[in-house]
This record gives sequence, structure tokens and C-alpha cells, in this order.
Amino acid sequence: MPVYLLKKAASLLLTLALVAVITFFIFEILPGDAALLRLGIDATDVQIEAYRKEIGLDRPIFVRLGNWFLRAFRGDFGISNRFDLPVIELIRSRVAVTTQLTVLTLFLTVVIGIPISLLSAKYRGRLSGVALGVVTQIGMAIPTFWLGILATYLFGLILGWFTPGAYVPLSTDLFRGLSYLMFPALALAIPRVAVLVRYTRSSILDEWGQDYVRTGYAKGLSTDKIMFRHVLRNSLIPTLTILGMMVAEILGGTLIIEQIYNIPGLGKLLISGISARDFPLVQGMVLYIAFLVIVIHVLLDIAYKLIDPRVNREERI
Amino acid sequence: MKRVSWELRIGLVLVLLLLLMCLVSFFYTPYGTNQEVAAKYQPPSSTFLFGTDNLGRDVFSRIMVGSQTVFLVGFISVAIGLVFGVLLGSVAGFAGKWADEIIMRLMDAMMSFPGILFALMYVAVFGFGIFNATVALGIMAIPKFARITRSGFMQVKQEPYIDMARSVGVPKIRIMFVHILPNIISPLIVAASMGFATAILAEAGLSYLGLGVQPPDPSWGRMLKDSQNSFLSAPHYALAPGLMITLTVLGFNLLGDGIRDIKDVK
Repeated sequence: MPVYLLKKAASLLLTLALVAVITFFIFEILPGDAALLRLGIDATDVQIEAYRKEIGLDRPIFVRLGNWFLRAFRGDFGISNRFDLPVIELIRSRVAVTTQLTVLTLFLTVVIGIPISLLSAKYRGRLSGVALGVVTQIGMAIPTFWLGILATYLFGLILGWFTPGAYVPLSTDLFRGLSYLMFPALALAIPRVAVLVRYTRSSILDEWGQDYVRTGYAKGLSTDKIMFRHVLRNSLIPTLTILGMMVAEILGGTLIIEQIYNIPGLGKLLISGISARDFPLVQGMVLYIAFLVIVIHVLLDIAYKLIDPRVNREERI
Repeated sequence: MKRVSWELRIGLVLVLLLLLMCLVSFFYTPYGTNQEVAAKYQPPSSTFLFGTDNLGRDVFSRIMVGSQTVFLVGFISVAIGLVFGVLLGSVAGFAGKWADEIIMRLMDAMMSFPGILFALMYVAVFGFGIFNATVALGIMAIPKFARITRSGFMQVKQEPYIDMARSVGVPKIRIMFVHILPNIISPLIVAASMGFATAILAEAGLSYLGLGVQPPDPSWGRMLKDSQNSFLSAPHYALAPGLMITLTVLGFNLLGDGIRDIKDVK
């Protein structure tokens, strides 16, 4: 186990490093002078030179890469061109909101998805099962942002269950905040539910074929008992890995959804940064988000290994 | 006996219909895509199948031409992903330890960028527009194809006929592309179909954010964005592009599933 953790940690660091390098170099290719961008067109040559020296633009590229690494390691992503604030502060002020949305979405995905998977497995082959399959396929194909717009329309404008665009922070009013976040979370969750149902259903069906199920019947257990006491637990194990992938997908989805629902989270910040060509901000945020996702993946991997001692296979194949 | 599932059937029908619409749009659309034909926000009628948009243009015609973008972006990004993915994957699967490690690490790093984050970063740096969006999506597709190719290679590599080819003196490159590659085509085709669907979804998202296809070129994602402002007065405007995106993604997903089902049962 310790060896495994060590290998995992090394692998994690390597991937993080690679992501950082990619992010660094993409912004390097950028035509245009970082100093000019920061100081504005009216800056004099003297000012430009001074700034370049200050942020080390005159050093060779590998030195700059190293410096950037070190600073990023300490959480210093530089200063936003547009807001004149350290990038890390801007990120910090938004992280909570996006995290709330992500957690809520995950919660909804599981709460809606698991029961549907059970039903889907139970009614397999029958009309309701097939219908569920069709609905699942459609659910996977619907663009999240379209769902978001439709939800705004249906629940916001027609039914009036919430006021579109009027975001309420959870810290201000938990109930109203949640009832607002519910809808973007729902829009995000539905495609994930579809994927979850697919995987969990086939996982459940796989488990049903196992010997211990027959043993359960022989013992006289009812179908429901077998399902809930034995099969479900085992079939949820691969679901855990899917959930890990889903966190990344959900985070990606929040980027767009936040625009629709006017939620002051990471996504909105990133998009406005891109539109404003605020490169320090974009660079820092991309790195931050990617790091977050990688760490979550690794944690879930470890959790997966802990839960299922049978799993002892190669990382890739 | 091949099993033609309902997925394959419906997927094929959807995709072919869309292809048909796309081809027709090159020659004929009911109205121009950029001319004001009637009052704004007209609901669907017999003259304007999907109604008119915020500038009085016929939505249906714009949808038709929008499908050109869809296929263009889809094909090219999948092509980029395939070509480079297969190249990298075959080297990783065939050449051995070091090449494998390096290439796969790179692919892992690529896959670590969630959702459209990489594409966002790419267009932020290189500029908005359909070309850059397509390239970004293509790059994002590479790791998937590389993985499939690699695992396929590693499996087929063990086969006795490969050993025989080697012992007779067939050059490695020839082995890779003439002997191994044709055997791993099927998972690649499935992935290509699904990849097409993913690319379309991503492109729609980018266009929605204003970072993909630029106006006045029609793009379904962009049309969705435009429809947002006029919800109360013209809800129909939001339906058409969203529906088309869903149907297209559905079609390619089902197609991929259907092909996979055939190959599996075989």
C-alpha cells in the first residue's frame, strides 16, 4: 500500500507538472507583449523596459518557466490585467459558489440517478425498460446550456418558481439560494444522470449474473433483499469511478451554465477574462481548475482502491 | 449473423437525414440566411417553418446552413484527432517502454483539462472563430484515439502472425500500418462517431459563449444565445437550434452504439 501511494503521488506530480508546462507554453506562443498589455498602449519605452525587468521577461525561457512554476506552487498566479488584483484572490472569492453548484449537481445526479438505474435494471426487456433506455439516450444528447435555457423559461418565466438572473448567495439566504441554484444544478445533472444510469445499470446487470445472487435465491431471500443488501453495493463500485469523471464534466459544464444563470462563480470569471483578454487571469484559472480536477481524480482513485480490495490491476489498459 | 439494433437504425436515419439537409443547403434554402424576410420573432408558420429570429431572418434557412458548420467542425476535428491520435497511439503501443510512458503521460495531462477548458484556453490565446475552435476541438480529441490505438496495438502485437511477419523481415512501419492497424479499425470508428457528437456539443457551447463561429455566420449554438434575449416574446426561437443539436448528437451517439453492437456480437 505505501508503495502504491508513493507511485500515485509521483504520478500525480508528473501530470500536474505537464499540465502546468502546457498551460505555460500556450500563453508563451501568444503574440503581443505582456508588458504592453498590462501597462496599456500609452506606456513609454522606459516604463515598458522597467516592467519587463520586473516580471522577468528578459530572462531565458527556461528560467521563466522555473520561476513561474515556483510562484504557481506558492499560489501566486500573478496580477489580473483587468481587475488589478492578484489572480488568486479573484479565484478565492469565486470558488465557493462554483463548489456549491458542483456539489449540488453531484447530489442531484446521485439522488436521481441511482433509483433510475435500479428501475432500469429491474424492467430490462420490458416496455418501461426500453422506454427508459430511449430517454437515457436523449438525456445524454441534450446540450446542458439548452436545458438551462429551457429550465429558465419553464420554471422561471412560466411557472415563476424562481426569478431568472436573480442569484441569491447561500450565505445570505440558504433556502432561497438553494431554490435558485436548484435549476442550474438540474440542467447540469440531467445529462450526467443519463450517463450514470447507463453505467450503473450495466454494472447491476453484470452483478446479477454472479454466483452469490443464486446463493441468495437459494437461501430464500427475496429479489429486493438481494438487490439492496448485496448487489447494489458491489455495482456501485465502478459507479464511483464514473463519479470522478463526472466531477470534471460538471466543472466544465458550470463554465457555461454560470453565464446563463448569472452566477458569480469561476466560470463567469473565466469567460469574462477571456473576452477581456486578461491573460494572467485566464492562465491562472485554467491551471487552478485543471489542478483541482486532477487532485479529485487521484483522490477518487485511491478511494476506489480502498473500497475494493480485489482491484489490483494496471493503471492503464 | 449481424445484429442491427434499433440504435443503429435510428442513428443511421438521423445522421443521413442531417447529411441530406446539409447537402441540400449548399444549393437551396427557402430564404437567404442573412436577409430580413419578415417581421422579427414571427412564430412558426407555413411560410417560415421555424419562424423568424431577432433580425427577421428565416430560422429554418439559418438552421440548414448551420448544419454545414456542424459537419465541417465535426469532420475536421475528428480527423485531426484520428490522424494524430492514431500516430501517437501506434508509436506508444508498438515502440516500447519509454515512448509509451512519455506519450501516455502527455495524453493524461491533456485529458486532465475538464470539459471545454482546453478549447477555451486555446481560443483565448489564438483568437476566436471557427478555425481555431475546430483545431482546439481536434487537439482535445487526440488522447481518446491515442488510447484506443495504443491498447489495440498492445493486444494485436502479441498475435503470432505479427511475430511471423517480423521474422520474415517485414519492416516495422509496414507491420504497424498494414498488419496491425486494419484490425483495430472498429473501436476507432465507434470512437469517431461518438467523438463527432462530442465535438458538436463542444462547438455549440463555444459558439454560445461567443467564442466560436462569429456572426453573421449561422451557428446553432450562437442562435441559442441570441434566443435567450427574446424569451418572453419568442420562445420558439430557442427550440429549433437546441432541438437540432440534440438530434444530431443523438444520431451520432446512437450510430456509434449501433456499430459497437455489431462488432461485439461478431
